Amino acid sequence: MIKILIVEDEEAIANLIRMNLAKSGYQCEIASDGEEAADAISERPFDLILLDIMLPKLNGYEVLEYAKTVDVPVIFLTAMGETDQKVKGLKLGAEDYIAKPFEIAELLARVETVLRRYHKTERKIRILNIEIDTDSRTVRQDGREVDLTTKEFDLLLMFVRNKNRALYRETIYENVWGGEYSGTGRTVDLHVQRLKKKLGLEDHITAIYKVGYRFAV
Amino acid sequence: MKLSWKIFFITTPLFVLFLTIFGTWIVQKSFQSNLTREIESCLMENEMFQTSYELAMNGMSAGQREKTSARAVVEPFHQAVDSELGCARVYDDTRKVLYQDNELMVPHRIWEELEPDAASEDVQAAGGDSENTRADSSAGEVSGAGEALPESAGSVSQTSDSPDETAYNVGRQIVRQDGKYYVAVLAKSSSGVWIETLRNVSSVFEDRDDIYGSYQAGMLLVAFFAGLFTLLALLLVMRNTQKLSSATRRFAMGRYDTRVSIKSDDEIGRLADDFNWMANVMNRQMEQLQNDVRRQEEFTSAFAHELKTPLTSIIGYAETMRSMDLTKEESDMCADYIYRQGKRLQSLSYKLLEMAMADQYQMVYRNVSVRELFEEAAKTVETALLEKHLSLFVEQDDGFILGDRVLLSSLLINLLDNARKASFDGGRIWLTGRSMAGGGYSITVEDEGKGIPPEELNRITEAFYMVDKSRSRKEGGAGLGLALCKKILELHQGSWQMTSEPGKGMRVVVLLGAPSAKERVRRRPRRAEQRQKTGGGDFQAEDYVRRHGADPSFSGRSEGRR
Repeated sequence: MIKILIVEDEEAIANLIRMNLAKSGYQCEIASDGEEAADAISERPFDLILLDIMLPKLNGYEVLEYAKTVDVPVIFLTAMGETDQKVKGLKLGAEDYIAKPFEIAELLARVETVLRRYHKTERKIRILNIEIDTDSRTVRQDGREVDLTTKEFDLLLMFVRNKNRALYRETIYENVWGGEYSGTGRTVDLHVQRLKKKLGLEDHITAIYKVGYRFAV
Repeated sequence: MKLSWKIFFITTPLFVLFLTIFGTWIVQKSFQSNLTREIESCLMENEMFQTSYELAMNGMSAGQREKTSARAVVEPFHQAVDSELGCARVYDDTRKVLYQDNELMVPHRIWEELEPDAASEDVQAAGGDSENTRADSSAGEVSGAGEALPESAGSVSQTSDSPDETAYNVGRQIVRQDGKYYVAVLAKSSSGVWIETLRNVSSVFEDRDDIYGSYQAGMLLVAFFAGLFTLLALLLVMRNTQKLSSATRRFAMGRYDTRVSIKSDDEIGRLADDFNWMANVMNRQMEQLQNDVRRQEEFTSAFAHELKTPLTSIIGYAETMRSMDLTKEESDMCADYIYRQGKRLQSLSYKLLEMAMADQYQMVYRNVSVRELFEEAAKTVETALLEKHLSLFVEQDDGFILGDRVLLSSLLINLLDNARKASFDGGRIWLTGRSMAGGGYSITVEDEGKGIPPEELNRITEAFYMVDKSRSRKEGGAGLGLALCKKILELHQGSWQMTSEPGKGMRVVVLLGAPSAKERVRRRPRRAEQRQKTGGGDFQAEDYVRRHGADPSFSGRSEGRR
């Protein structure tokens, strides 16, 4: 199981992240200041660290220096949203940054991306009778390869990673297509229909009125 | 052109010019006096010659006179001189030469001066230079080889000042001939003969030319060295201006630590001092500005943090709730977080609003009764205190503070609120008011709470600064309370003093100015009297702190509040 260390002095935010990551199947630990984080890093192995910059005792940059010595990828959580802070964090060796306020889906996507980059995630995801190979980007159903477009593949991956979670149309659009969701287009619905048909997931991907879709397993 | 060269090119010629004028004047003066002396001595010589001649002639009978040649008369008393030095000559009344030392003849016009009607052939007969015939009547002007010099102009006189010369006519003239200068003196003796003495005075003129020559050489030398020194001195001074100007340039290029070191009492030195002074002032102002900007940036970034943290939580929990199937406990927890973070945003916005209001607030100055103020503040915080089982002890000298009632109340409430947040459950808080001897009023808020480490005391008035973040979050603080208090105090021209011992508590002493006496008497005469009767005498805030500093537990509080 993948272990993530959350370093955040704001208890509300730390708990929020922990709750959502746990729901997605990650094992989480919270450190509320820099020293606690450093202690945790030195004592236990982690696959990823989510690190706030403004911390009591040791600040985020100092913790980052420490984390680099044990080769753990780090994602910065920054409240400033200021360019130089981001640049400083990335230059110091952070893998990515997330600016507060962030959306849960974005957080999960970024965590996923970094973990994949470090090959911490499983290459092959098996769910129902479907097998997804994230490296070769191929999908097999009952051992037979299903031909999916790029967007359909991304859509499927998103549903699988957020299983049992209601996905809003805007969230889907922003994560798969990128850019601002206009709220009127039917792009998302069209692609979801085609995906359902291709994989016979009519029973599992359900539309939620006024919201979007949920992939229930 | 550089200033030093300008000054050099102006002063040096002026120097030379003045030196020339002065030198010429001196030389001329000395020459004049030498010449006069020569002339005097020539006149004397002529007179002596004449007297001796007359004596010799008088000592002879008429017969003897006929027989004796003039030479025989002269020789006993006169030593014939060489023509180089001069000549003595005796004429009879027809200007026939009776005696002469040598052949030296000098063309002078004394004859014409003494006897204007005499014919020019007389001059010719006197053996004068032929060119002399062209001499016109203007005195002292002889052309050609014979030249009457300006020095002698008008010196031919028939009427001499000397009373001895009344008996005969005497004339003198300075004449130049063949590059030599002669003084010619011609006198008519009472016996009717003319006595002419010539003397070579070239040496006087040569001396003058000599001195001129060496003076000019000396002057040029002096001028050269003086100019050189002037230039050096100027360059030295100008080097300082060089320093100054390069320092100014460096400063303008952004090297603000540039200073000039010129140790001098002159204007340049003073200018350098002024430059340094200006640079210091500018540096201070720039630092001030930079500090302001930095503080502004810190505020902005702290504000962004304070704003984004609750927003992140609220949005995040709400999103979690709407997109996931949660258990009852989970959704309750989410709702609780949303509620608390929402309250936090609310408190932040209220405090910010208060701050903004204090900035633009139209202060209403009024004499505020301390008793009423304390009562109001205590009432406001009462409920919050009850939650933590805190006791508030209020005591005050009756008095008035000149200020804005709303702001003063806000100040007290914020201080009490801080004390509440710092206090442990069941602790005590004191609110004490004392009027002071100078007419001011001091308000003390003291608690038995956690206190603040001394090194953090000067930072706690910064906006959003929190000594213990997680704790003050729980208490619903935004980190703006003391910043607001500071602002209110600034508006009232008050001051404060904070002392604290971690773990034992904190004391804030606020000093507020006295209400103006006029105002107090005019508006509330009776209350003012009452204040004086019940007033705390010569109480000083420092005394107060010192007196109570050693004893953290206050005893004998008369008025308690629960």
